[in-house]
Amino acid sequence: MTETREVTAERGPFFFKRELGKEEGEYKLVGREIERPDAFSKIMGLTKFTADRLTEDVCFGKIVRSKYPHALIKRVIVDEALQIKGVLAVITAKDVPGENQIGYAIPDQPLLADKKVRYIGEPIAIVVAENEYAAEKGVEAVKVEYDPLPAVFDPLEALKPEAPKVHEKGNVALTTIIRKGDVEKGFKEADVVVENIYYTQRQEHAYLEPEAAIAYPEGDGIRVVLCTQSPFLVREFVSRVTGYSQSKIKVIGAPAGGAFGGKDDMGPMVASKAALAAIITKKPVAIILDKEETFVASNKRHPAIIRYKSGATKDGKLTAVEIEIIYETGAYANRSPFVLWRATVHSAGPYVVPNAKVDGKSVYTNKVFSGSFRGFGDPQIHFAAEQQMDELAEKLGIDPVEFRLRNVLKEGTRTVCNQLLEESVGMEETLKKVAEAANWKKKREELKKYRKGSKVRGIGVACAYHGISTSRGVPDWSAAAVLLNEDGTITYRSTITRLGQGSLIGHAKIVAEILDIPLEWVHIEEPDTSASPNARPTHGSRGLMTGGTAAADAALKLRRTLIKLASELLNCDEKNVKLENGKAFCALDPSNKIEFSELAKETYQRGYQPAYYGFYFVPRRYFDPETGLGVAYCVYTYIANIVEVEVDKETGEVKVLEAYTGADVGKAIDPGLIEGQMQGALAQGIGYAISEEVAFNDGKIINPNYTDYIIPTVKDVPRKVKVVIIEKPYSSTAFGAKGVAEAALIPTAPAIANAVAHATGVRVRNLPLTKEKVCFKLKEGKK
Amino acid sequence: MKLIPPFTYYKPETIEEAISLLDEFKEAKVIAGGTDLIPLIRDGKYTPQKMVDISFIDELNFVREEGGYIKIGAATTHSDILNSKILNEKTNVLVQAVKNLGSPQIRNLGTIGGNLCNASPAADTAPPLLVLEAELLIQGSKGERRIPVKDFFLGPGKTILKRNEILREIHIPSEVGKMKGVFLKLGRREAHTLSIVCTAVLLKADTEFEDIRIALGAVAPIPIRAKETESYLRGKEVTEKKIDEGTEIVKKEVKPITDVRGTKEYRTEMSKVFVKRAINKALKGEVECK
Repeated sequence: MTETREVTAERGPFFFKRELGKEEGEYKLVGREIERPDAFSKIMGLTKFTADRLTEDVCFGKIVRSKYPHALIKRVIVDEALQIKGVLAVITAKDVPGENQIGYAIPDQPLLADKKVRYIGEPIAIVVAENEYAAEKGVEAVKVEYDPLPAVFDPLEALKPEAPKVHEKGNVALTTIIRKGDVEKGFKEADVVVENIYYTQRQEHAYLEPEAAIAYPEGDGIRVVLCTQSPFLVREFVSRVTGYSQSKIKVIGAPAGGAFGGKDDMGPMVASKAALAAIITKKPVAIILDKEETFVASNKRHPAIIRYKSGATKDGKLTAVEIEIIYETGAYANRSPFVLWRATVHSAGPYVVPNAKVDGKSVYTNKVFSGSFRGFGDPQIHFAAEQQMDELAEKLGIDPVEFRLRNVLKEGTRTVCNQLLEESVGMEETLKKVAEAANWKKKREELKKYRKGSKVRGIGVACAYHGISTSRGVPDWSAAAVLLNEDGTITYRSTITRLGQGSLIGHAKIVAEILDIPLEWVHIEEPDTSASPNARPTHGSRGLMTGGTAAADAALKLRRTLIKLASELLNCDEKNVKLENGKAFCALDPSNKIEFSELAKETYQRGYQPAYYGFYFVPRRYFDPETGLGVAYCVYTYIANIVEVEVDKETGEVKVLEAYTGADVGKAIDPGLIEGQMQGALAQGIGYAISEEVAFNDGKIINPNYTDYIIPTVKDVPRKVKVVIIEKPYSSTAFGAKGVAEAALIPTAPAIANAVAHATGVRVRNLPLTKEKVCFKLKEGKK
Repeated sequence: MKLIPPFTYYKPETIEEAISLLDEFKEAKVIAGGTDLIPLIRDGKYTPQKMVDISFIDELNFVREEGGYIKIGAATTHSDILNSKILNEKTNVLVQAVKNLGSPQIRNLGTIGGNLCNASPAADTAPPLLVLEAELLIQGSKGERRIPVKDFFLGPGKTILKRNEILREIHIPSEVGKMKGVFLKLGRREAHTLSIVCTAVLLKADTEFEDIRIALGAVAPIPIRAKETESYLRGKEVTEKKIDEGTEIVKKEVKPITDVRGTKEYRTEMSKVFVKRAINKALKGEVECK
């Protein structure tokens, strides 16, 4: 995919082609699939995750958790616990030297509950002991006296005036709004109107590695090693809780055994407790959650209730949407301001909708708090939006793909927030290519033959879009450091973290491409807050797009230095100096060359700067929260999924037989890494669609384990998955790359629901589509 | 979750040694693969003090045919059952059940004796053994006793085993090889999951049901035989209508509960669906369904 218009920005594909003096086809690493340098150590179990770094001297912190969903804390009695051999300290709220506050955007969440508990599993105290057994005994010996309060577990109940108040100011954590055009007029113009209510469930991240942090007191400061998505956010929270200045806190981001947003929220919470324990006991302390704690007390995907009304004309054009969104945030707001805003601004799906009225509410209940989870509010809203699209198409007698194509966002159109999309809008092409790969038209007809017997087949489509980086006017940036060593190798530093996705490998490829050296010469250091500036979090599918652009900035600075130096050494004009295959030479006489290692040595010897920080500031946006109009995100990734399903009408089993998933990624730095992300997101989306649900009984989670929380196994994902990569480059980033990590998950559940409707004629608007639910829904549908 | 507490571990090499350890220590508990027991410990539902590991006892690890029985040592792993030539050739309904039990890792550790002694209503090996009318050889310090497998289970987690007894062998009458057996399971996903309902059907039929045995798991406090359904079908003509009528009776024979895995209503419905599917599958290739 090549862009035809000239872009004069200081980045983007044209800039890089000009700067590197190469055509895209000449790139050696960018755009090509490579063998992951970390593959061997991962497969062989050699990678050191946080808990693998325990040494003999490390003490253990274990957490005393609330047994009530809602209660006042009368007293925390620690005396008995302190008598246990090996117990060093029992830390409660009163021992927190800094602020006992870890609310993300709204300061509503204590690190350790002091006056009141708001969900079962909420941390109240930390028992620190020389060994895990003593810590466990200590936890059992801490007596908490409670005064139970009436609790509220349902968001609709919580909105009633007589409901118990989870927080003093009431049960609405925040509201969002979009007012665009005139919806009344829009619905009058519509020939068909569809209105439904959709329900989505709480999903657990289910990463293999539970949350873990080890804190080491060092000199007058502290070092924390943990699996995290944002070392600098961890540093900020550790500073807030301990009162230490940020410069005295060093945070190392260990590789994470899966994160999916969960470790974005949990990292600061676990690290702050470990740091607190280490400071109070003056010993290194590890806090490693067990799987049950992860299920019970870590953030989950927001459950949603969405009332959705949409209208279209008979020639298949959307006229208006009216949407009410309720996202249950549980006991604390955590990331809700960002999750709900994201859902709100994406609520119309990737379509042109002239009139919109959207109202969002984030509601407190006495359940574990909701938060970041791959897709970040978008899977829920697209589950509704994309089923609405299918129902409108059906009423209009238009093919669902065709109906979408008549409404998709294109360059020059405006989003539901009235944001003018100027570039990198690949929805139309993505949908067309995915439909073509899936042989949509033919299959949609052919599968009607599979309507006899108990097993029927159907095919469904869903699209999505997903803004990359932060929303609305929230500033975003990234940073990196490139150091040229005297032997010509490169030390690369970034605080974008390793979650299994391979962002840093992408960064290294960008650096190596710009310097035209072998990838093996670029050594990726562990993310370390003391060694490079804040690259900002590894979330919002931004790790490669923003972090990689910062890496490019640093590498370009070094490249310019090396060209200048080579010009001097080769006695060749700068414009004729070429960097290629680890050498510099003069284009006029290629035999006039110098090895990269020699160049590196001379950099130092001749007084040139050998190391550079790179910085990338995401284009500024404007957004008006009073109307919900403005520039919500700098750029979007566009996604289309098509799935073929088989439904067993007797048992309700939904089996995904084939899946086609495509995304406009801007520029694929590594198609292999993208395919990995798309396949993984699809599998997680299948779990979300079919089997995963955190179940409660009176506020207590009754399936806090893999026996009863059902994630897909290899046998539950389709054997045939085709990934389609579309490249509509973005002019602001390195080589035009956008983000992809969350993409494929977002339209998976609605595509499956649409396929089930195609197969059976029955629509399920309530996630997940478990066997039992579909079975009874089909029986009901027949009546 | 709890840490696994320190406990005394015994690794007897003979059955006698194992029994004498159980006689000696009241607090001792038998462990084999540990795939059920270790999660119980980690859930804090059982705190071990002394564990007698019987998985290294050679006399408990075998599958062989003798004296008109296929005999299986209680500590035989699921993987060994899956790969047993005798079981695959003579009667593979048990093999079918084990094939989808847990995951490869669990099958490599978990044992058939453990699956029975854990007495889960959803134990996948129980329905096949019920229809095979297997007998269990139980060993105590004062000798051994044989009981039909149907008398083994008392309730969820409860068997007739006394504290100092161990399940030694499972005996399957060789003659069942003449009957066609099918095991089917409904779980919440394709593999590595507990049954919402599972069923084993063993039958002999030409134009009529000469003999039929039906057992179900996960739909009553213990794995059960569907005797009324069996007697309705026995001697009946093999027709779709009769099978449908017969399996309708299953719905009255099961006594399921509602839990996080499925509701009573769904389990009841699915009991019929799966028994019917198992019968049809067993019939396929033998007789044409009229």
